[in-house]
Amino acid sequence: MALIVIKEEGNKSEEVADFLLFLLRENRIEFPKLSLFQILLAKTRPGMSSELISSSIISRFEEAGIPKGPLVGGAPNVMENYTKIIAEEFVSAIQEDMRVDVAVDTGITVQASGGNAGGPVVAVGASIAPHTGTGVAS
Amino acid sequence: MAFQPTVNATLTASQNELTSKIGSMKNLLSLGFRIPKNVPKDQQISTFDYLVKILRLLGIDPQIVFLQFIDLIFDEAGNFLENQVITAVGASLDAKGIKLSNERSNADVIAGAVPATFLQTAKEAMAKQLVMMIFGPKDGSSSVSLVPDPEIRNRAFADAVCGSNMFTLSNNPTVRNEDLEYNRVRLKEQLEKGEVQFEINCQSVKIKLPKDPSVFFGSGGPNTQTSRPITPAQSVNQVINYVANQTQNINNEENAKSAGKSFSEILIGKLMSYISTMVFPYVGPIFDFLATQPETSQLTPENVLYNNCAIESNPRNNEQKAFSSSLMNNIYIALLRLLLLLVIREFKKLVSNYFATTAREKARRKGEKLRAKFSLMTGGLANAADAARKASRYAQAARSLQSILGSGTSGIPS
Repeated sequence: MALIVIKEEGNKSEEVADFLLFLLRENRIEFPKLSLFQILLAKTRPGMSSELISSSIISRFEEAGIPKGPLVGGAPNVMENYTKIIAEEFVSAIQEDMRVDVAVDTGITVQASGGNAGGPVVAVGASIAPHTGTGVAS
Repeated sequence: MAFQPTVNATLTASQNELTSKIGSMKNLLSLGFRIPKNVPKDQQISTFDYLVKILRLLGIDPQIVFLQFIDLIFDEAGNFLENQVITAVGASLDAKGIKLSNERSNADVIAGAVPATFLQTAKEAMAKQLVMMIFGPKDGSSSVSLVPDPEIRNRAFADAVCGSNMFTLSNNPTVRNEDLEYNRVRLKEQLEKGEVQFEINCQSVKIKLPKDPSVFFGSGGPNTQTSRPITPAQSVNQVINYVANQTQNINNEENAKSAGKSFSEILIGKLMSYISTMVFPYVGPIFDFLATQPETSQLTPENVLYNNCAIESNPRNNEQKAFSSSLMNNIYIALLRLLLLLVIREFKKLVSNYFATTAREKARRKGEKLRAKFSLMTGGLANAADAARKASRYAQAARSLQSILGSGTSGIPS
């Protein structure tokens, strides 16, 4: 037991770790926010395919040092089967079970037209309350 | 024995799925989940050890920071050590309940009254004293060449033994008093002989200084003329290099790079523990000023800078520990600052490099996928156009043979 104790100002090992983790979070590259045009273009996306996902993963096996194709002696490559199963289950869960909850903020421009005894009437306004919606991922 | 018919127990897909899921759920529940530990401050790894660990993980030898720190302490042009000594004297006066001024702190009053670099000419002597306190021997020509004054030498030797456990850079281990006493007795024997055993990079090494250790401080003997004066920090660095060479000569080089305390880390730990003793002979200017003040006229260096043996014999007396505690802690924080600045700089570089590399890889893969899709599309179209042009050329060429082949181009090899 040391006779001179380290004061609290010098006892900061946990705070050092917290600060370095903060630097890690601060410096990560954030996914850029999509523009309205890019979001609307999502209609042209083909949707998720477990076959494409598993084949992409299997094509990168070399990066992780995992062998591709049948193993020595013609044994089936269990990693490829495993990858295929994982991809299928994930895509199935996303396509069949996943729920997307959407909230739309106020301020959507609304235009309505009609008529009365005085003639045509055009009303222009904006939504005043946020609204929720549901989406499906495919 | 009667015929035993086999029971057909094939499971359907849903039955199979259910039994597998029950099995995996039971399995997961049986796993011991990791409960985050809330470790009390006094049991956590020390900040120094943690920063050194991170530096080594980043691939940086903390030696560069240790040498920078030694330079800071023994810098003859700077006044870092002087400021810390003045602050520590101020803290000691605070612990005694003495106030030199109502408007300013004790440390500020003293700082305004003594020269800013009052330890400038003493730093080489302090470095020599440190070397003697680490390696010994107690008596003999080598210790006299380092510390000529016998009074300073005796005090330093006693403090070296009593102060072996004064301040630690690592967390306080749970050690029995009898083990501490045994270590102290062993250290005293080794210091008297001048052959101290160190645990350097996980190997036990006995180091003995050369017969004339003043060679580390620039004096090479009666026939040597130094080309330029060597600073105290450079002298200490030479001692570190000497120990590194001795370690390499004594033990297997394979162990030289093994994880463990390097000698410079050990030296810094010793410097922390012995710093009060090292500055003790040179605080005259401060006490000359204090003698002129009515509140502190009776104070002497002995009853402000208590020696390590006095502190060790009365460990609960905080007033006696005030000077050493303030000085050692402030110097420790300065060391942490140097380590932390380097860690933050290198960590930021690593993180930026990591995210930039992974983002580049992602973009490259995305680009390759797009190119593959595009070439499929354009390749198909190009092939279709090419096939159409070929067919038209064949049809034209085959017109002259129509009488033999009949109409159309079927059967003509392309």
